[in-house]
Amino acid sequence: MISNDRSQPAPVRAALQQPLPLGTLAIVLLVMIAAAWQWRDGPPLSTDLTALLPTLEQTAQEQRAQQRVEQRLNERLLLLIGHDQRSHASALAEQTATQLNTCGCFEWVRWQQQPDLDKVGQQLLAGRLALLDNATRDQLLHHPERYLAQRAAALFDPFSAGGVVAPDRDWLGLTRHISLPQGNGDIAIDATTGAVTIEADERIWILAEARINTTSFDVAAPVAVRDAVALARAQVTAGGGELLALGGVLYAAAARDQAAAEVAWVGGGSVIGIILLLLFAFRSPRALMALLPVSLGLVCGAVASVGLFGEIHVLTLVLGASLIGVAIDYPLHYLSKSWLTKRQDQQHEDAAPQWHSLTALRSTLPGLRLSLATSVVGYGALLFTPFPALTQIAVFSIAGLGGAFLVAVGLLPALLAGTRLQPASRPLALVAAIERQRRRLSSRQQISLALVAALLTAYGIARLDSSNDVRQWIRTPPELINEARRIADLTGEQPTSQFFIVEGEDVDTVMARSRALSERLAALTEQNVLSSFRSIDQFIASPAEQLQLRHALAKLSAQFEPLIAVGIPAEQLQAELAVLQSTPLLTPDQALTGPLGEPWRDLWLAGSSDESPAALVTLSGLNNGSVLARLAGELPGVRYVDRVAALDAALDQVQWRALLLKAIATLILLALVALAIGLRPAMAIVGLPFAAALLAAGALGLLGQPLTLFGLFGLLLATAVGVDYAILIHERVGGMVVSLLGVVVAAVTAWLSFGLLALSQTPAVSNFGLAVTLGLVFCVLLAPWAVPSGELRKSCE
Amino acid sequence: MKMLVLLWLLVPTLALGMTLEELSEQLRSHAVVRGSFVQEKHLRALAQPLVSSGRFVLAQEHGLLWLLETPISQRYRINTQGVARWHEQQWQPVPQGGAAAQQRLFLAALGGDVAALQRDFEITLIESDTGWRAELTPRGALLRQIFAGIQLIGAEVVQGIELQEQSGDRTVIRLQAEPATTLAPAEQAELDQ
Repeated sequence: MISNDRSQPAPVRAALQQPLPLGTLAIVLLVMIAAAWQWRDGPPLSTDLTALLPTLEQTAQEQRAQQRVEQRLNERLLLLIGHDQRSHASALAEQTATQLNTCGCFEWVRWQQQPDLDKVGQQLLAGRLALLDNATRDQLLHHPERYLAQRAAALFDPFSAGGVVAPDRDWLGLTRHISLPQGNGDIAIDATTGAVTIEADERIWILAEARINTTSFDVAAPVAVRDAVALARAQVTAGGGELLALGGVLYAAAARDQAAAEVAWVGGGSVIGIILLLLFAFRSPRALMALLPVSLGLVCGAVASVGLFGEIHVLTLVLGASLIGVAIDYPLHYLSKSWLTKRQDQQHEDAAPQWHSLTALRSTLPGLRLSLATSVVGYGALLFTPFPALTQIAVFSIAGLGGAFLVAVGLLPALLAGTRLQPASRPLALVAAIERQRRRLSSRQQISLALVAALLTAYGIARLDSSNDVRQWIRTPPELINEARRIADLTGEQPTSQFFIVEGEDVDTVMARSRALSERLAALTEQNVLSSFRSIDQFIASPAEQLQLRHALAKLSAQFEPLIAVGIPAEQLQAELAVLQSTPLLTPDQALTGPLGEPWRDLWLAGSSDESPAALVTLSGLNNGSVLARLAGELPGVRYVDRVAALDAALDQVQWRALLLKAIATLILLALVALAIGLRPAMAIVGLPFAAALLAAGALGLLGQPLTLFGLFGLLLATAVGVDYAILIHERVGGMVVSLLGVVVAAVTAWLSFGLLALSQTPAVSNFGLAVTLGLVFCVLLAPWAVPSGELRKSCE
Repeated sequence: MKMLVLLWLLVPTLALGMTLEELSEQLRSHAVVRGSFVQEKHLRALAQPLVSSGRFVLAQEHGLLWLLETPISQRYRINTQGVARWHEQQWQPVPQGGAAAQQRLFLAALGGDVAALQRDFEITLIESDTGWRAELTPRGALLRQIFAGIQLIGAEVVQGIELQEQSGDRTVIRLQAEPATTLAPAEQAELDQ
């Protein structure tokens, strides 16, 4: 269907002789170079969800605490290596550790506890007052005689040989009542290998832990860790064992994989669909050049996002990939004018004006400009939401559409010059038939249709659930959830992002408040509200408590009889008591530096000179967060931090703000369109897509689907696109039917991309896709009404 | 020539040829072992050892009752549920904590559970006219920081245990025990409780 005809009209010849638009080419080239430079070290993709979330109002203390908790969740990798036989399990654990160490993505990998017992012993002795467990301290305070009798008996206990501290350095045996961090009761340390082992299901599991290397933390880290774990898993499986892994980084890698897969099939699927559509509609391979502005537009979007934000979030990329469906509209607008020749062919066979790219562009350019302006205003509104996710998507979209427009207007017509399109005639006939039917509707029929639609919409919107759940932004693969559950069963570790922060003006206040919280939490643990918690007071007593214990011990010398009776010299006991009286009180800061403090270090936020101290209480296996939120309200200086809930609330707020901004944007749009074509048609052009968005919202409600922030964003996008359609119809370049067909083709390409998004496994993305798809359906259905019926009759006469 | 002497020296052990497995089998063949013990704790800081004595009952299937009588009275029990102490008229579990490994070790040594001991120790078995002596050396760095070595002596049953700690402290337990076939009902009740 392509032919270079010598007998072309003058403007066409002029266009043919026109050199390729160098300016546009230069810009395209620059963008490509920028893209290549930005991607030089691999894709600058981010999976960090927090980068997309609105910043919450937090105190500096809370932010630090939040960082601590997230760091622990994200940087820690927990591994369980299981085998039927102990020796095999430790061999596999060793092999896994060695193998993980070679990947370079871990700061350390540890599967053996090799404490320096000398140092442990020193800390135990120095911490006899501070680190003593609560039960023993209570007994020493209230029933010292019972404690001493038990201690005398324990000296003859055959099972207690081989303590870390020799009996003569601690006759009172206080070091034996300093609880070492232990998980579940089944967790033990293998005496020979130092491995932390769990016996369960007739298997020996060895607990290994790794810290992800954050000094060289780049976006590739999750993938590197995931690959290293996958390799280790394969080796352990080959050795007849089983490997379980848990870590925030694995979730990040999974999110990334899934996003990449979805970009591939949403992008790929829509491109294939659009290629088929172009080939079917325009019957010329040259028409495929319409994809050029689309792809260059996507590159522009990515370059702008990376340039502005340093990286591009996978969610932006997934949603951005669907922009293909909008960007294709620019070339389609003038490609679809080729049907004009078709229509006139049928009517006057002799005078068939050839479709020509430049003439088609010239006639559609005002509409194209207006439609770019409306889109930019539509997306621009989102720039002002306090919500990085929407901002990024807006930047991506504005830059993408701008780039696509530039190429569609500046480059494509030149490339298509000389191409003659002979589009398929069947779609034209079909649309013409439908349009004839529509025009036959009487005003009464139209009004009753509108009434029914309005009623259904009102009912649907009333049922609409518009709450936000940030967890819907990601879909966690069931394998990971299952693995996390098994690890929780075996180790009791079920980390949560919720935590308490305990504040006070000094260390004593913080410790006392932390103790009060712990007592309440212990009771709630019994009631299964949570499975366990970690609190600094489980490790160390407050200075006040230490002092109280020291006073109590001073009175002990009168009660040494049971120990003296079994042969401990009184003078040695007195000497020990003197040492204890002069043992300095310990602050958490001091105690945490020793080897025993290591597992507790993340729980203490030492106050600097201008900041008061604070403690964290982290939770495991949380079943009911609202109980804890209430608890925090009852205790002074205790705050419950639930970022997920806070974010959901913030998202709800953003949702309203986005609506407000959109309303403002609509007014601007109205003014813009009114300036171009007058107020009355502008009302129709802006009002119809708005009505379509309402219909779509109602349809979502009827379908039982929620309208999340992303869904709302989808509806906003659909209205922006709908305004384009309405403009196209209003302009009616080439007549009503040709314009309608142009809109239908444009809409089908949009469905091809957004419709595919609706199938995404990420709830937020699928909600977005569904909202856009429904919105566009109604936009197309309502588009013909962009022309007042009176005017239409006039134009037909 | 030297070689020949060495070979000759080796012959008796080879001839007597009791393996660890056989020893283990022999020790575990007694369903019940009952007897008395004397324990001496030699502590660096004390001129005199801390001496205690009492009775014990070890049943392969049920566990161990360790009844300290002098200088103080205290009853211990080890069974599948762990270590418990008789206190205020009931068995109270002793928190295991870091001592769990020692408790298991003690039970394994007393009962001749060679497989369990071999996991953590190199065992050298030496036979003598009256019986045998097993020398246990810790395999891992962790245990080696605590124990210098452990010795078991015995014949038909284990007759003595000596724990040598790195600190220089020593615990010597001498056992006077007889194999038996059944537990007394009272003993069984206590162990299975």
